[in-house]
Amino acid sequence: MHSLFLEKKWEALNAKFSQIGGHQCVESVSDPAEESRLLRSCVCLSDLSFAKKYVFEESAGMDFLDTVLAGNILKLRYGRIADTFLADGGGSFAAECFVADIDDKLILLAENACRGDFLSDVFSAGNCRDVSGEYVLLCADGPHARKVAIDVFGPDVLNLPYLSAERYDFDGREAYLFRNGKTGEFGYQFMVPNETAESFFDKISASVLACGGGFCGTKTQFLSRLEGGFFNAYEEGVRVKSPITLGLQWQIDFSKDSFSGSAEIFKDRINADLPRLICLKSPADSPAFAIGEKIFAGKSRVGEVVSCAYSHALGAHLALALFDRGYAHSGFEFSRQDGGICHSVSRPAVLAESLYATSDSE
Amino acid sequence: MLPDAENIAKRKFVTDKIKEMLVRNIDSVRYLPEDLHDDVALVGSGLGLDSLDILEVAMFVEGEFGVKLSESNLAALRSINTLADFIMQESSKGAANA
Repeated sequence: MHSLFLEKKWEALNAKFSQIGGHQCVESVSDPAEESRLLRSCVCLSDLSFAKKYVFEESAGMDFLDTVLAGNILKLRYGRIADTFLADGGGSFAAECFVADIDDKLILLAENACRGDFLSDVFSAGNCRDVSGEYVLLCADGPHARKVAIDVFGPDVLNLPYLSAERYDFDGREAYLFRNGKTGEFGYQFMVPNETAESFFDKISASVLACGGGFCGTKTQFLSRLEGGFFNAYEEGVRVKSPITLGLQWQIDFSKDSFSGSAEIFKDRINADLPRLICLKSPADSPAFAIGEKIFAGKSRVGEVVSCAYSHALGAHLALALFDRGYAHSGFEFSRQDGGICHSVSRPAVLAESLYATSDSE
Repeated sequence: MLPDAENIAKRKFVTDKIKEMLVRNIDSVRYLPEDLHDDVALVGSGLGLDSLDILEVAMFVEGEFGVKLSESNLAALRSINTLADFIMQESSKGAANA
């Protein structure tokens, strides 16, 4: 297992560890309800260093990535981030890819639902450098995340729109800021070289704590993605293979002739019978959803749970379920395997406070 | 609401209308209506609509469904589904008051 570079720092915070795809991760740091409250109302720092990181030479990298990724990388502008995905040759989802054009190169952050060596095999054909072990990736999420980013890098962070990137200097080394948080619009990711990672962690931790925030693990990170309607490659991306079923059409440029797996994906596009992912909610006093749980309309089985968690913000159980197309609509009541009921609900199930922040929370 | 054919058809009518409008009226939405998942975000990640596009959506909702979006219910513009929820909720209020 690949250890987190900042393992000692997280250990000092009494973090509990687990693993994602052979990489150590921080699962939780404190009580899950408290982590969720801080993320939703203030700011939480988490460690996403298990994501794969690659650096491409700018112009050759653009041409190469445009041939393999589903999105249009040739249209990516300097300082911006493309949110797209890599599929394997059979059209199965492999990884969500954030490609940033910054500092005269392309930086690709990949959240992989497949083996990391598959990604390395694909991307090595584009003469990239795998820098996964050379940088840490920290993430500040919540309505006050922007305050933290400003405290660390200065007021020009305010000018960064959603899905943009910037290079800064920290302790004499480069540090990259990506505004691509996956729990609300004001999430920021910080990619920092190992040499300065510990001092950076100390600085950003102090800033988070000064704001009244705290730390969280992947459990809270992933819950917030589920609540906020953000795609999670590590949950539904692992269990559902068709990007069309996953609802990732918005990450595809259908005007491209081809990309990795495009033939199968184009076939799925016109298949009206493919199931769809929808969000379900069940009261707090009902049993928790379970992966694989069947959902019914009357006596007909119409869906199956692929991702689930308890939402502290809603006080209810939430799930994503694969539904027969004819029933995949929000606003309806369905029966659960245990005889209880659940409702299909619109995403986002929880609205990020950041979008409507008042002057008090600014 | 139970997922019977009539209720599902009502819901589908509203979401299909929204999708058709997005594809027809918003230049940046280069998809077929069936490419748009009901939960796709309208702003930010997802379709990435800008403020002018959102104005277009608001005008469509008012013209097509007779429902007015104001500052207090901008949260309805998060996704196709949240917009459909809002339209159906406001329409049923209007029908009850008629």
